[in-house]
Amino acid sequence: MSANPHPPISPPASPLLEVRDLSIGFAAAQAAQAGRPVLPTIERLSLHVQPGQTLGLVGESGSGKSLLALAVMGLLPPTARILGGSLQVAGQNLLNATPGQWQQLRRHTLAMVFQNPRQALNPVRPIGLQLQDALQSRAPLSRAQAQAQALALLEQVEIDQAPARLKAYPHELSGGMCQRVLLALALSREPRLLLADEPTTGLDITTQAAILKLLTRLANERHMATLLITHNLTMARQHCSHLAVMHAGQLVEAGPADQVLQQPLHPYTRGLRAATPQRGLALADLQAMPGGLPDLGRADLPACRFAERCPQVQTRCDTQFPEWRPQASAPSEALHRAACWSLI
Amino acid sequence: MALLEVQSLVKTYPLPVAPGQRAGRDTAVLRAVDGVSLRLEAGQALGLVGESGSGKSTTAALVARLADPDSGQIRLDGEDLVRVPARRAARAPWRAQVQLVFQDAAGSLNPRHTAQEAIAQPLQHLAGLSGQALQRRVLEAAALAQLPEALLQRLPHQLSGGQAARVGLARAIGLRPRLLILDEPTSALDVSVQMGLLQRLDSLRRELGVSLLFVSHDLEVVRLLCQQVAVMRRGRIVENGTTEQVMESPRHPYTAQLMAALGELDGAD
Amino acid sequence: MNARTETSPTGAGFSLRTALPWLPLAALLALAVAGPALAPQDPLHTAVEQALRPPSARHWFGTDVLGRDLFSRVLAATRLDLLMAFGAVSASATVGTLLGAASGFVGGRLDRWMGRLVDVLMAFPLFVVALALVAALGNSVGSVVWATAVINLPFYLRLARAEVASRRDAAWVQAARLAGLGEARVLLQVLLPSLWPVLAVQVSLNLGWAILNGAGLSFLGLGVRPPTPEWGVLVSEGAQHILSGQWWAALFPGLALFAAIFSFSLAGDACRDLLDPRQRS
Repeated sequence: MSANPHPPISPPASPLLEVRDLSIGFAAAQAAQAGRPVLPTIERLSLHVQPGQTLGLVGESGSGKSLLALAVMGLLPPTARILGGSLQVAGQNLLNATPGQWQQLRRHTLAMVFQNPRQALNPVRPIGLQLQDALQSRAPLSRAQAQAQALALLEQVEIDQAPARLKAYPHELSGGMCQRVLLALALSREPRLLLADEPTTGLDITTQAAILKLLTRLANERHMATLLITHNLTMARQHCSHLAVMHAGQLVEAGPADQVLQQPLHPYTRGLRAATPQRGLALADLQAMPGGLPDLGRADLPACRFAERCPQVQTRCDTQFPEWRPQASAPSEALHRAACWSLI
Repeated sequence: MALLEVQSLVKTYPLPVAPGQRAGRDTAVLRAVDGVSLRLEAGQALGLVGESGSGKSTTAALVARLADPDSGQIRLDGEDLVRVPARRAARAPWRAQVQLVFQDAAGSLNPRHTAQEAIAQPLQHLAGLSGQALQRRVLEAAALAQLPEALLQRLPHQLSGGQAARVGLARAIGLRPRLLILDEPTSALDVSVQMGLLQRLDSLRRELGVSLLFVSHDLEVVRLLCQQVAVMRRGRIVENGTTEQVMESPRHPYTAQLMAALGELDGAD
Repeated sequence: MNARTETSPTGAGFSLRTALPWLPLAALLALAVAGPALAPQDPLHTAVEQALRPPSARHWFGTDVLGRDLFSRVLAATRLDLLMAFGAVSASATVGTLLGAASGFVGGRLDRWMGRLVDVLMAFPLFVVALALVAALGNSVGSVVWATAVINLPFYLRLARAEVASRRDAAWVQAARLAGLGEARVLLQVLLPSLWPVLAVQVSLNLGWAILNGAGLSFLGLGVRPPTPEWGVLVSEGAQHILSGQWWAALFPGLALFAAIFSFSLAGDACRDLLDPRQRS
């Protein structure tokens, strides 16, 4: 029926990543704002990722997707504040984790791949040594062992001429190769959850396709859960079994990928779809959404932050964030749900 | 006669010399553009597609006369553009007719100038406008690019990616150029913003008759906007034809490779 | 994320907080302008019977070895020191920036040779060069200004050259060419103004060095000679008496030097913030 690369895992075990009603905001930059409550950038976000599953986190740039990933990795900037909710990985509460616990998590459970691969690598150290550093940080290895494992990792990510590349510096590698190196670094953690923040930005089309295929293969082979952050619906459809759609820090729709994309419930998802190129559609058949993300510093932000761009806006969208339909007290990701007053 | 005729354009760069060697006639060169020929009819859009290193951005810079080719011809409506060297191109009589929209929109704006000042610059220097007339043309250009008037007083760091792209577009079309070269203007933009910009470009082409040379690595976007497609690889054009021809029945294996990398929003792949 | 945008007529937002860094410099300039008129006593009037008196109600800073009121002398020296510093720095900043910018813009062989010239200049210990120049030109305020200007030239040459060369082919500069600005205008109207923020910092640092340079030369007996009040001269005169316990003779001129350099730094930072378009919201 569907051409998804991974069918949903059943029965749903306890989720690997569980985010519940998470709100994150930034401390006021100026004293003048100290009197007002900090406006949450991410507001009451809930989602799950099951072991081995690929969840696509979709939304325009600036909707808070990267911020969520940083929160999961414990890499929030110092000005960010957790305003409420809970965040758990493998049952462990992350919001009051000690630095030691974070280190353990980042060595054995979590890994992340970033947008600008060349900038995420140390420019003055050959990549082979960077891989060895990563390997040796989590287990006592001799230099020979670390070298051998580094080579094996490079071959896993399909870098050709791997032995020669071990000595290469990041600036000698193409963007696609740098991203493969980042993947190798991530894999060295043997993570249970991989966060990929727009991993193909700036790469050529053929390289993008190859990197994503590689990601999918590795996730399948290692039963590794993936949180793929992207603003590209087509990419999300090709590589994710489930989707979560974010707008301006609010989750608006979630569920199995083909259901969300083929029968979108939320006007924002419909708008994204209508703007995405598809075979058989000409330029005139596509539609851009009016406006852009609202300025989150405003005092008069509507409760549903899509209200000002929404073709189906109602008066209560300004004052109250919509209830989820269908309702569920502990929604599983298999449930296709959206938060919109137009559904009620 | 086509609006733009490019023939056998060649641009090489000397490769760095190894220590101990001296640069000479036999030094290896990088053939960034290796005999490129193109034709663009008036009022049409030609997509120049290729991956990084293919030479498409260098070709765009040469046609925009920001750099000089080693050899080859570039003609706009029969007029030879290569005769004036790049360092004097700013004052050439055809400068207003050939304009460029850059890939990094925010980076192509003077950080000290407001959007208004950026859009006004070519109008001042190429059309000699000032005062009320200048103000009017700036507002017209902003309207053509669908840039809200309220944004005109903003500085580049106060603009989003999509807004900066529109400022770049307003600046380029203020003088109603006959040829507009666009170097990957949408690759850094979200899908909805990208779509808005593409539709605007298409309207400008149909209503104003601006011809577009659209450089991109994204075949999907090129398919939507362009009637002709030329595929570049390693400095050469490997395939050239109408969009339907190239995308439905590609002849070159590289083109087929690019097509295969495209995904589908619905259906199997 | 969009920061809150506030429009304000002066751009930077006028408030006590933004004005604060400028106050010390403003005070210094006021003193320099009013200068000798404010001095309670004649800076040159000697009264040997009053020599080396500690600070008192009559002589706030005490008296020097010839009985002159130190406060008046320090005050009177403000104008001369600031004039020397501003004179030297404006000369070297103007010439150095223009030459360096042109060199960086043109590139090629000219630029390479300019680079080598700058390297040669900077290979010399600059204070020694200043000494040599003043010795050759004779002891006067003018020669101190010239010498200081010359030894500071390389800093501006290098700075302007590097900044212009790195931005010469930036997208926003190419856009200016597309807009019809010829090469000369690109250099003068587009690239030079972009140097302001970096220049502001360099100038503020330089003013401090220039004052120290002049004071150092006077301390060694070159350039400005006594009885002309100049901070370096005053420190020199006072330094001889520290060991015998007359601490005020060297301290107060030294403090004046410190205050001047500090106020330049403060103002330089504030200036750079003002000139940086990113600070405007």
